[in-house]
Amino acid sequence: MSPRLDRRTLCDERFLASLEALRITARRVAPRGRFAEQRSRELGAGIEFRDYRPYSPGDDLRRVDWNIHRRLGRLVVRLSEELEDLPLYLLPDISESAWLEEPPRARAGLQCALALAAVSLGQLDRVGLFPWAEDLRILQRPASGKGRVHQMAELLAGLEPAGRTNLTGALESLRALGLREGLVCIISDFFDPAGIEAQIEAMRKLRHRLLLVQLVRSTDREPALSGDWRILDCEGGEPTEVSLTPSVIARYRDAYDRFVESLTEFARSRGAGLVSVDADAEVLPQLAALFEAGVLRV
Amino acid sequence: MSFAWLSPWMVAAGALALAASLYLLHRLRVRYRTVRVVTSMFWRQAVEESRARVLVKRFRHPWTYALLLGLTLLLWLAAAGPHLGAGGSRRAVFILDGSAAALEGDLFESSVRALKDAAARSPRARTRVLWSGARTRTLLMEGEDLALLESRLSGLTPELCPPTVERTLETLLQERGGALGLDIEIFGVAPIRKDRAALLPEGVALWRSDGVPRGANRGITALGVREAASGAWDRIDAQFEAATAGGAVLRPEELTVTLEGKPLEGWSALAGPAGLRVSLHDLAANGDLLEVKIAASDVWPADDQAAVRLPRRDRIRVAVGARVAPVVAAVLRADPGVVLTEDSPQVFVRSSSESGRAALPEMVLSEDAEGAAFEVGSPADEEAERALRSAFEELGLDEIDGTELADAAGRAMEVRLRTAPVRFLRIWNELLSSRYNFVLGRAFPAFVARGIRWLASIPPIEPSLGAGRILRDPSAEIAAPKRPRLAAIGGALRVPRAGVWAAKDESPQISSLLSREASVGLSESEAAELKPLPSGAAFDPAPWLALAALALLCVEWQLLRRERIP
Repeated sequence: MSPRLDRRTLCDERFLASLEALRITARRVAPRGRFAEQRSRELGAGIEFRDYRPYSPGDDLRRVDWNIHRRLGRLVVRLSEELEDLPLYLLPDISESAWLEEPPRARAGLQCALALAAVSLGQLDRVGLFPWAEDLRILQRPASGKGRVHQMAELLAGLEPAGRTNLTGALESLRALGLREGLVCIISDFFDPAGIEAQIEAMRKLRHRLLLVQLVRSTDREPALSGDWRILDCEGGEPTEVSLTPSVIARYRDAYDRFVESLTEFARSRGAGLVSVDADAEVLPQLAALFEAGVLRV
Repeated sequence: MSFAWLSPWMVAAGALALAASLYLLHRLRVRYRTVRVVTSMFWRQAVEESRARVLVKRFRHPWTYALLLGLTLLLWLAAAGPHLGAGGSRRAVFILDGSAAALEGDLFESSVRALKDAAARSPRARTRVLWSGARTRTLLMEGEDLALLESRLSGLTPELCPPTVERTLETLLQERGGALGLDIEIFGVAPIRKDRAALLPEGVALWRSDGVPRGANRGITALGVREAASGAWDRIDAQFEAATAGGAVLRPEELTVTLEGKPLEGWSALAGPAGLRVSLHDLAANGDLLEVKIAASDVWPADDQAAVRLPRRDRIRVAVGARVAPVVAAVLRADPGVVLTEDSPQVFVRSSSESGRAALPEMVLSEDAEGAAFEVGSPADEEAERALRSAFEELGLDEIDGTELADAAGRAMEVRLRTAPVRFLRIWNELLSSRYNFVLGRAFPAFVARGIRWLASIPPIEPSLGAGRILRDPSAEIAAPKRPRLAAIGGALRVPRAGVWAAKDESPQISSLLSREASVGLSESEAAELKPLPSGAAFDPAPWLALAALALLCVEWQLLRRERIP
């Protein structure tokens, strides 16, 4: 199947320029990262002073505060804040459901992924691309550098529909990669046949910080159907025959509302970010809602 | 509410059938449209929840069903011809009297006006208009436009025939029966007998538009001829009656009787309860025209004169073979209606030992006494049973003492019927011998005389050629000038109206009105008293039902557009 999108559809210079003012800031990133702008949980030889501690053998003598030694006669070492990077692992959904409608949800999803990648790369963080459908695929191992934005845009534009939705399997594969703790951004409609409970359970097992981008449409809750329909899932499976009476439509809305409520409750309990992006509307204004004063704190 | 086309039970049954049919249609398997979606997991949940809640599959689209049922029932009711108000569901038949009875003054014109008014008031779908003249015609069918009645009435005038409304009633009731309500209204003065009105089926009512009372009238009510009482073959007797109504007086001297235009004298009138009766005896049966007139004309001149053409009774030319028994020739010579001649004979009487003459009816005296004693031959077109019956009566075979002949012969005496190109009569010559007393009995000359007349096919005398009367001769044919010939064709032939007719042999015949009902009407004890049909404006809800159905259709369309119903 030929790619559904091209690079121009995903981004242009104006798109990238509007992302320059945005930042993603972590409270503390995991240690042993590369030097970057995020504050690390580890104190070390950074620029910004943070604390003192008694000297112990093996400490770098350059960090001994000799002024204190002269006044107090004690050897203490100056501790500074370590600045490291926050790895961003982008998991865009490229299953069949993301490509069905017009415009496809994949377009909005990949734009979101590219926007977040651009923000992270702009602040020297590493970004990895892991598109998924039935399984996880490594499109780009975590890498940094502002110049990679265009390369990533090319990579994302080359994606194709890849089968059924299987988020639980994809997250299992992600965990098996043993990546350094970072920010996992799952961009999907979350319409996994396994159900929202199975997806939440799989997400709960991740030791990364989570950002959920839910791709929605107005017709998800208010279907533009009436009469008698044989409903086929775009990813296969048994058809469902239904006569659309007001009560059936009401039950459909209830089911959808429960789905959204479960996702929201999980995000709230986990402290994960959650944003709903309407696939029919422009992506950036919706994504900007995540950033308070231009900063997304994770 | 009542219905024009169907009974209420039929309407109810139809409505139930429609409701059931629509219900079944709604239960039919749904033809689903197919759509691919990303949210099928929610649809599955919605459907599974509804399945979990009910035991029996819920009726689909009850509002659609209700709307469709309402719409269908409205159309069904409109089609059934609902009727509110006067008359209910009854049908109406208006009969316009077109007989001679309507010829009095402007009676016909006023009847036509009343008919038009009534037809305009009556619902077209349930009203029929008939013309009852010499024959019954439909002037306006149910549902036809009223303007057609106007055009069909133009140029119509009463015909010189007796009242035929009773006959029209019989035809109408045979056609329709009395199952549905029927109002029959008569426009005219044609009388209806009480006993005839009493025979009307239940549900059929008879009415009469405001009739004009009959004025004083005098008329010839009967004129007929018969075989001369004197027995003379070439003579005929005639009789006529003149009656009065409404207090009119008729004296014998006001009557004029002419024969071929010449006054006939020497007759006398007998006054009776029915009027004056005059008998004329031994008139020459030579085809002269007998006319009777009432001197002073009255308000209704149609019955003031009558005429009849007397039958022509020529003697039958009979040829007799040389070997025929003398007793037969003697009987023939004594018969005043027979002349023995060899010049163009009509009948040939011969012995079986003599040869016959082609295409000539013959009486054969059989030398051979084998087979039937009496053998009657007639053409194949005569129906066998009727021919045998006619042979018995016309030949006088019923007067022969067959038992005595059988005793004398010592064997059974048979009468056999055979099919032959021309009529013949064969008897044993032996019966004429002295061994039998057949020739000595009075039945013999009667048998010979009748046999000759039957062989000569002499038609019976028509007693009267009055308009509306059925002719006695089953083979009679008549034709009005420039009109098609009328024949009985196995049934009864009725003279439609008074006037000049051509008989089967093209001889001119005169038919007169001769209707006592038309001239003097019926007595109060005989005539049914009929009242006018009560008029009332009827409300026809059919158009309103159709409009309601249309409105319902619009509602359904709007609901469909708003996707409130599938």
